[in-house]
Amino acid sequence: MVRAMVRRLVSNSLTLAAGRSQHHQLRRLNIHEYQGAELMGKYGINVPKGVAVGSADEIKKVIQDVFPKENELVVKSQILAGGRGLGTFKNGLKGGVHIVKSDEVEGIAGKMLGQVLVTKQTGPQGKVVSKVYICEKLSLTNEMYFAITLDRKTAGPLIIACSKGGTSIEDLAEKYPDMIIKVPVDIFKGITDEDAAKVVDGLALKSAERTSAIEQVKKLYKLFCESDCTLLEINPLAETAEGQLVAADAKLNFDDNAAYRQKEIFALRDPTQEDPREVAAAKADLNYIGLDGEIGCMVNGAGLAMATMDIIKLHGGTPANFLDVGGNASESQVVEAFKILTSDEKVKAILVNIFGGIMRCDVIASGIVNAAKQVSLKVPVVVRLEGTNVDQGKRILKESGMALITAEDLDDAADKAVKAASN
Amino acid sequence: MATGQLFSRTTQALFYNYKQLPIQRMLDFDFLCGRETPSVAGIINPGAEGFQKLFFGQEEIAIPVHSAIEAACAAHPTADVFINFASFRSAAASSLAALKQPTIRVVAIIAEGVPESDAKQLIAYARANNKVVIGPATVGGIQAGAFKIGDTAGTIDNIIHCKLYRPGSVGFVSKSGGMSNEMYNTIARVTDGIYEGIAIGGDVFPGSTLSDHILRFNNIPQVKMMVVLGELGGRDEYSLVEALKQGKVNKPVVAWVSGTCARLFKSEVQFGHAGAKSGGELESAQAKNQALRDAGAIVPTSYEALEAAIKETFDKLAEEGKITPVKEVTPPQIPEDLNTAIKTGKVRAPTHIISTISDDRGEEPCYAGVPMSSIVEQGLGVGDVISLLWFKRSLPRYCTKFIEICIMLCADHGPCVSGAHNTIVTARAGKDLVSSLVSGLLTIGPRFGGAIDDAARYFKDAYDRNLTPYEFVEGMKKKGIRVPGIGHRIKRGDNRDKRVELLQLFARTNFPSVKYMEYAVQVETYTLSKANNLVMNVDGAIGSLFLDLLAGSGMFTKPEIDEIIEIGYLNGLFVLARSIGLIGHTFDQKRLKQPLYRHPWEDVLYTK
Repeated sequence: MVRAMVRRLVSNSLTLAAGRSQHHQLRRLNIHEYQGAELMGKYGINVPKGVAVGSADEIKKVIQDVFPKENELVVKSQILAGGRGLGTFKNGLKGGVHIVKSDEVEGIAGKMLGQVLVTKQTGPQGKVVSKVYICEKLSLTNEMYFAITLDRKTAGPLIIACSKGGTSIEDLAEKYPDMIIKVPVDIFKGITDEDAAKVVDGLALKSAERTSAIEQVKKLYKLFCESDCTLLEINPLAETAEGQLVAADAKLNFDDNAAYRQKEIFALRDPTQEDPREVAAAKADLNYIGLDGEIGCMVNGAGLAMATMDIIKLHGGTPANFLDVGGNASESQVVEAFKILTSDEKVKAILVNIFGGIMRCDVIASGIVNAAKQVSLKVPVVVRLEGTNVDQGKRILKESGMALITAEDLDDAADKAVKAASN
Repeated sequence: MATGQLFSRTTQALFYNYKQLPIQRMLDFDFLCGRETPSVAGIINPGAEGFQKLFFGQEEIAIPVHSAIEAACAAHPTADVFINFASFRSAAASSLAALKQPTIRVVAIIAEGVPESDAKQLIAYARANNKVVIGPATVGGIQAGAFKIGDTAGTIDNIIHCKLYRPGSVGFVSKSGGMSNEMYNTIARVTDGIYEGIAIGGDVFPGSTLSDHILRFNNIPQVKMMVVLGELGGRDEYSLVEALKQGKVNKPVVAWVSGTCARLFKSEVQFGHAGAKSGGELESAQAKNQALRDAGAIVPTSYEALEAAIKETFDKLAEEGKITPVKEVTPPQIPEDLNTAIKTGKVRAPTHIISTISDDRGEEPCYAGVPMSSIVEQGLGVGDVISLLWFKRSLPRYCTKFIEICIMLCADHGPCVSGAHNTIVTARAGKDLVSSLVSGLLTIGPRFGGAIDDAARYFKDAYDRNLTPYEFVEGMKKKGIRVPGIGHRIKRGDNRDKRVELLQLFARTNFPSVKYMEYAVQVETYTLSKANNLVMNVDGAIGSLFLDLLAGSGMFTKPEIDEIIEIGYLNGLFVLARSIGLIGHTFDQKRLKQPLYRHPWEDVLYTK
């Protein structure tokens, strides 16, 4: 079913998140709310009217041009993290989303722009707000649920709709199981008018027109396919007092594997909002996710990395990162990996766990030795090498004269790393 | 899915996108297992056809290369496995094309990063047509002692170490390819080894799932127990839970789901594999481990305890007499590659060619040890390049300048000389540049252009033997040899060859000594006294001055000078120089679109 729970952040907000980015890279593409709304707008999907603004000076003109008749507007900080509504700015302003009178927009936006917003998802360092999204305030008369995802069972796209909406799909499934309909779409044929009609009938519209609703469903499906989404969730899909069907809040996940053919969408990446460690790792083509533990890990293979982290935890430690150097890492990649690990101040010990299947232990070993020459190693390094050319690898490490802690197996390595980190 | 064994000792595959190493590893595995036929029947390399040479044991075999999937399948109807090493961009299209071939039964997709909607199409097609997809994002799989996909199980050392060259009793399936390497080692340590191992790949939508393979293993009589290594994220493990609950699996299953550490992190973490992302509590490693345990699988308390759990399960089966003892075999030694053996100093082999003038192995090609870039940076000329490549040393600039002047002066001598004439005739016959050039060059010899070497040879001999010009010229006359380098068709004693004068002027100004030239001048003075057309020609000037260059520069020993003259280096100057002109004549004729040349009858004396 739907891959992840919808995180309702603030009413009427668009939350956009994506999974993995390019090949071998682990950065997640997150695009800003206003960018997602623009994308949907391009496909002819009804979205709340809104404008993104980068400086308070532009606001008067924007209100004049776009919202001349509005009394109240919604002002939303644009950061790539959830929890904005309940966040606090470092300058003291409470809340990253405000509903204000039109003439107050400039004042409140001025307090948001260029400021750092801290939410429970940003960590204490917060994220800088370089744009605010000014939207019309809608009066919704009916809230429904709509999603498209890729389904295991039918091996194709699946449309899920519910005549109730606004809360998470798990909640809906529990409270109104009978109101949820699922319409599988033939992946080779694409959506038919019958498919779309079935969905619209399942939504049980109150005021919106049926034919235009069918068109909206087809447009949503088009967006899903053409943008290589893995999840498109509109919650709520709402009817307004004017009888219009509007995607009031959306979550779009993009398939990172399709980055190569979705250049426009992936160009929306905003590196200023990303973890600098991850940006550096992506440059070196390393599979890296920054976490907040104290043991830096360098492992080859995602599966082994996972097992390594599990065992660190079992021994009472916390991994500082996920780092997979891959099955074919070059020496320079190993050096880069070490630089990233050692630049993290929280890291108290480093654990290198290599099983050389295709990867050669001697390559890893010379990478470690070279890295040690280039960066000053202030923390203990525990190394467990096994597999192809292991003897050569061990010899290189030994002859380097580096103070390394060698481990016999994974368990031993984790144990030694946790002990080294706590000393 | 379900049903039983996918591969056998006679299974053959088609390999898409030529990659030498994985194919060689497959063939080495075949040899190790004592297979009679190689497991790769054909290679598909879009845009290429022919054969690829690879080793099958000690023998070299030629594997056919096809440019299209359809052609490969038609040529190898018994090959029913398609191993796809295409990039993530093109893997889906080529896999779908392969699935559509009636002869293909199993498709393994190695690429990581195939778009999910594309993967869905493959799965839908495979399901509807009863075919098996392994991957994407996988290393593949192995049936011990029978068949191996690509790089599965790593190097030959690792394969031998894990005894994968003969079947054991354990069926293994995991998401991760890297972890399967670890687990092959573990399983070999505590059981009689792997019967079959599959890595399904780390994607969100794998072509075949953990439970698909477990149910299949359940139908293979030789598999006595199964080991499953899952990951957090996704619901596949629950299909296995269902199968266990429904009693569809009647062999012991040892299972572990990695990713228990995910709970430590507040935010959602994706562990490398696209599918390894916890989507709620149900998809967590803990929940899956518990569900598997509740359904009757043997689930240890941690990954480290997995080995003990496998051992315990296997020992119990052995005690119950359910394990047929494995017949141990000693696998044959895989002959080592010559290059590897040389690198490690194990063997030495004689070379077939020796070369001393240039080397293209380093950062940039070197001429006699001097990098090309430094020649350009120093502002040196073609004379210096000749000095490096012909004489293997950096001669002083006045020497190399002299070489350049020689080349400039000998570059062409009009269309009527035999070389140019030949070139023109050949070019007009519609032949290509190289043919036209060499047909002209072929006329160079004792009568055309070959006099420089002879001039140098005779002048040197005469001078070194202290012969007077009189003794030298008359001695030659007695032997019936014309003095090379003396005599001109047009030039006379009172109308010297301007080129000769230029060369002499340059040498007098720049050379430390011009003793050979002075000797040649004395010879000329004597011959002029005999006939007015016996002047020194360009050949004589270059020949004698080159002797001065060699002797006067102090860069050559006496034996070296003798060798240079003996080999005939100086003729090389003429060949090189005249090539410039001959190429020019070829282009000239082509530009003028001249028709085939035919010599006029009137110009031939027909006689008996």
